[in-house]
Amino acid sequence: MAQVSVVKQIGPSSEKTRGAILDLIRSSGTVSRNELVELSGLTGASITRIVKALIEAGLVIETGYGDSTGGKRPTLLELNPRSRYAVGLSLDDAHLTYAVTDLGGRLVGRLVTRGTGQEAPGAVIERVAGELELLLAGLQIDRASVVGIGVAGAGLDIRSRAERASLNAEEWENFAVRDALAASSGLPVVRENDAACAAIGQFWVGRLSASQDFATLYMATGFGCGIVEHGSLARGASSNVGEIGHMVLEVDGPPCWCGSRGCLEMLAAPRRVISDAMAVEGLAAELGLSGAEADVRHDFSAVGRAAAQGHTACVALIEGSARYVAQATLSVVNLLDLDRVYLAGPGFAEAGPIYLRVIRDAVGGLARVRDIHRVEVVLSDPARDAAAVGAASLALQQSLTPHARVGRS
Amino acid sequence: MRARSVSRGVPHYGEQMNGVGLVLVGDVLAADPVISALVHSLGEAVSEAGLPFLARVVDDADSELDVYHAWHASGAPDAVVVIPAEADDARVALLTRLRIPVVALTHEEHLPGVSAVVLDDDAAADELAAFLDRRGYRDVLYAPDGAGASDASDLRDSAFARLGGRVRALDDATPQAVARAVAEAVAPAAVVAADATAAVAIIAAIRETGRSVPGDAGVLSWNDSLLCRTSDPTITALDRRATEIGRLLGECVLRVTAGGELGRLPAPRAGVAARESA
Repeated sequence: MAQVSVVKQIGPSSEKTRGAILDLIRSSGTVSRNELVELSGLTGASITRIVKALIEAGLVIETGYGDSTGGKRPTLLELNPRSRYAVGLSLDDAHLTYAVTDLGGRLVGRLVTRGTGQEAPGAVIERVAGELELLLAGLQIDRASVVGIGVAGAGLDIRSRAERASLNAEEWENFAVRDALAASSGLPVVRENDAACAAIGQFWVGRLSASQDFATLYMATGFGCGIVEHGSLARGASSNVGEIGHMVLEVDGPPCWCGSRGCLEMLAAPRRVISDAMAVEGLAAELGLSGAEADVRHDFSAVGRAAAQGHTACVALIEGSARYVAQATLSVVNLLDLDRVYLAGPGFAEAGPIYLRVIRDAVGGLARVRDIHRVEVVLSDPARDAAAVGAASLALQQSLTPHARVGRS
Repeated sequence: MRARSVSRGVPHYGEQMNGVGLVLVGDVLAADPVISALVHSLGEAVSEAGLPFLARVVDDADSELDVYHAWHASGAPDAVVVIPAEADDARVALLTRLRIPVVALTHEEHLPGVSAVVLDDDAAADELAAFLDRRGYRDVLYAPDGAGASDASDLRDSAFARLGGRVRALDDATPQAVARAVAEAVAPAAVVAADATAAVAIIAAIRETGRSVPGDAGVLSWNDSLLCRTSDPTITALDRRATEIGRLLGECVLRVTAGGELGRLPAPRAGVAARESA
């Protein structure tokens, strides 16, 4: 699977080659130098030299001997998982979640702190720098062993600047998350939207086969859609694949801040559900909803929780949102001929099963390919921090396989 | 312990571990939906009040004690949460000696004087026993398998004691063996599977033998999880109220870090979430 693309991509640069060989060792579990020669197509002398460098860097260890094929028994190599770590950070209105994984992708710690809320971006980035100190101190991880930080956040990527364009977070527009965090932390930073990170996290954590394409629909305050094809993230012309929140579902629908009309976000995002909930007589008082912009996520959780417990008005509100999300999902499935869709993100934490039911009904009953293959819709466990774990995976991938760098000119 | 800054909105971090800490041994966050849900809601409750919440994963119990020593040496967290804590818990004893405030998830008779959320396993066991009685199950089989089983042996023992001689723990808990045991049991039988994944496999195996679920046999999961709520059929499960317990632990921690009086809060009582499989 991934090995084929690794071999194809081995370039002349020694850094790239080293990264590719390290990835081969990682994906092989244990492997001998001779096997690396066969897998990579490099010469024995090159492999010997690269492996020596990897061992000296502490990234790879010799773990014993393989079976003899006639001569001397070969020494086996494997990744030294605790030699390096990656940090994933999910920037979200409600919480900042940091996930730290070792070189093998295993979670070694997670930190949760206050969300971005209405805080100014510069203040958040400053806070993140302090929280990174706290995180690494608490996990007793030396900064020098951190390969990088992956950041998952909503919004577009405008080249080196991260734009977080949404209704009430204008200050995040054009704020360079990646550059600011790289400067304050002194570590390489890779940024990706939260839906894409969740999809990558699903791929790594779920041990999915690279042959299986899937999409992850992510709901936090807005929507995103990460698409994984042949084991890698689909990127598009500017690394902005998956803006499903601006799929138009009603051509004459309510105007959207993006300039269009009838976008999914205007029809079905938590903000819309809450504005509808505020119009239901007595509901705000009953559930303690404030209706204020800063409380959208909190209010949405309350409505979701009540819906999950069968509160009739809340079930209707959530189903109203879910019907639009289902139509958008159906279109994605039809467009890409997917056989698997994941629902992830904090927006599904409370009323996820209701969304799942409505989306399954729509996709199962209406997908163009329904007579040819099943389309599975799966709800990810929101406690798994898919976006943060995926962001750590991205940072890891970038350092292990430089050819796969999420590069932008 | 370092005094926290006066304003909660502007925490100052240095080379020290402040905030609230939790150490988990082994890969429980991935393997155990009950622990995972509890840790998630605990983290939300603590962080929403402006305190950072750090969960650290270590390989073994000795490493856990080493972490507390290291945290103490580097400035000490505002509080540490221990889940679950037993009688004479070595971790609670160490943290107390290090003067790090502790909040435990434990049982009424354990660790008097320690701030805690207190589980009532007897009440939970009664709920399970009453549910099985109400549904008229005559033979109850327990299939102790599955990677996602929480360590809830007290609760399980207590539940089984209340079911008298009707409960049999199966030696071979593979789905096929469970299906054979169902075929030989006094109908209608109930199977308590260790978790949702096991329950799904057992339901499939029972249906392969030509029997129906829940008609001929009911299948329950010892742990509630997302899979229980979204599988087909949906799976009846023991709801241990992990999310609410996490929030309560969070409240308890905040009380302790604010210098409030020590408290013991009763955990919401576990119950049976009745769904399609039993």
